[in-house]
Amino acid sequence: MTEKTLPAEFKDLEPFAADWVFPTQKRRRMKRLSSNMDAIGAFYSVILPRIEAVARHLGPRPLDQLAPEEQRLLWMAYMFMEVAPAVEIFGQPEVRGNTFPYARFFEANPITGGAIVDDDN
Amino acid sequence: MKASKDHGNFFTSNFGLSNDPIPIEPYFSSEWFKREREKVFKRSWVCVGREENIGEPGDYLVRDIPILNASALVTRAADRKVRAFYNVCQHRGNLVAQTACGHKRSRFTCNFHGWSYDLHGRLVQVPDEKVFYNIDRDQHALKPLHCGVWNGFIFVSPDPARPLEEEFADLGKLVDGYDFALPVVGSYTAEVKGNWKVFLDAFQEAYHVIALHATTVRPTFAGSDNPFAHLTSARIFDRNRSISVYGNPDHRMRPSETLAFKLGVASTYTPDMEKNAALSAAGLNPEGDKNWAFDINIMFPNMELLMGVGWYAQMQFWPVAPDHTHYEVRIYMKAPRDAGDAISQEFNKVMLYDVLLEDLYTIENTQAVLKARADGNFIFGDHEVACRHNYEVVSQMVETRS
Repeated sequence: MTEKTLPAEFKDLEPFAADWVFPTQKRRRMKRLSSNMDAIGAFYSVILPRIEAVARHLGPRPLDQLAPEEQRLLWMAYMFMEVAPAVEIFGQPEVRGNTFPYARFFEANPITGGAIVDDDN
Repeated sequence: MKASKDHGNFFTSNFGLSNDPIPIEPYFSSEWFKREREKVFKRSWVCVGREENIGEPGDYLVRDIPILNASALVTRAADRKVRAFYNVCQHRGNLVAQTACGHKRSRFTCNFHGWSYDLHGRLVQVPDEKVFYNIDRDQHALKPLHCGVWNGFIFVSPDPARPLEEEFADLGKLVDGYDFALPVVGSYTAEVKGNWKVFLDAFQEAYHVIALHATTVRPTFAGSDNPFAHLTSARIFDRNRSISVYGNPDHRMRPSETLAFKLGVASTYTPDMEKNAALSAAGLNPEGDKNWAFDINIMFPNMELLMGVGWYAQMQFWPVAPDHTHYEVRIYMKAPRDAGDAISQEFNKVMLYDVLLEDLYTIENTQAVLKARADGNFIFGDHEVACRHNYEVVSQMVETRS
């Protein structure tokens, strides 16, 4: 059986559905940082011309009422924004030049300010 | 105060500040840090959260405040009032609340010997009480911290020099009417080996945009009519201050940025400055600056609110040691109306995260070599007036005899 991973209208993006869909900013960032520019560039160039169609397709519905395949499509659009600076500015996955290490700038609990180090955020 | 076309020494002299070099000892000295604890932080207000974090009676949160050597317990009782206490059992000093936050609590029970306190801090239970020689429970309530709410932000202080309303009254007039009760879309933290003032200074000027952010946001915040990212205006309110950052109307957008502006609410600023002005809500761009991007409102001593159209960010610089600061930043944005807004906001989140990595980089390098040039100085230019003002306010408080 094949579960529909993305809405039918976005069959052209299916080849990326397995590897480029993550529910959190942290996981998307880790994917960007662990990918090479060939892979990032391939994803970027296919999805760039489709972003407006994604927004149109998902339309004005509340985001918590998306079907699972629509949710994945939205996460894929977020992934586009994650890799965009790598392609459009840096020419590499990381920020160019000397920076504070990614590994020391954590997602935090917004109430306590404490670092969240597990994988789900 | 609006920037002058003659950009020499303008803000600095008009605010009555000196233009002397700044001694660097306050930025690394342990002795100075101890005096900051006593004279600055114990007498000031620090923010421990948003009111929405503890919206219902029985909600509470705990916040460690290293510079005060304290843990604060903040509660909302049935009377809906927000209260704050030192999170210390009056029996033998263990933490009363051991979890960072929670709901539906009616009392906090110390896990050492089981003494219990209610949401008003009152001592309500002492196991085997009769062995304590007729203990007077009223004398052993949790020790209160001064506590108040400003625009939904909860502040505490051990011994405030001024009431909260007074301390932030003038700054408050600038942001009146702004809706701060927005959803948090991003929240990040770092432990950074730098003095809290070195850290804060990196976030209260835009002069660094042209060099540090040369590859990222330089074209956004500097342009042909303002090549050095001069502030568009600046204000000082006693210990607090506020600066406005220029936005380049001619900045050429990248493909992802073009999409972000096309699809969603403007979340940094739109280079269409007329649209930007139309979108700008109450509490923003206080002097109606042309080509305005966002404001930075710095609330003495260790917090700032960066505020733009459809978003704001709260930064806190928590001193831990003379050369160690716990940094927190929370990004708030208007709830997305649709997927287009959400995709647009993701652009801004990612950009901000990457740019902050550039900002954070300089702090540890600066700190690492400060001591080696202990007799050296910092030179602050006119557009670093906020850094200078902070130095003057802090040193005045530290050097006051009392």
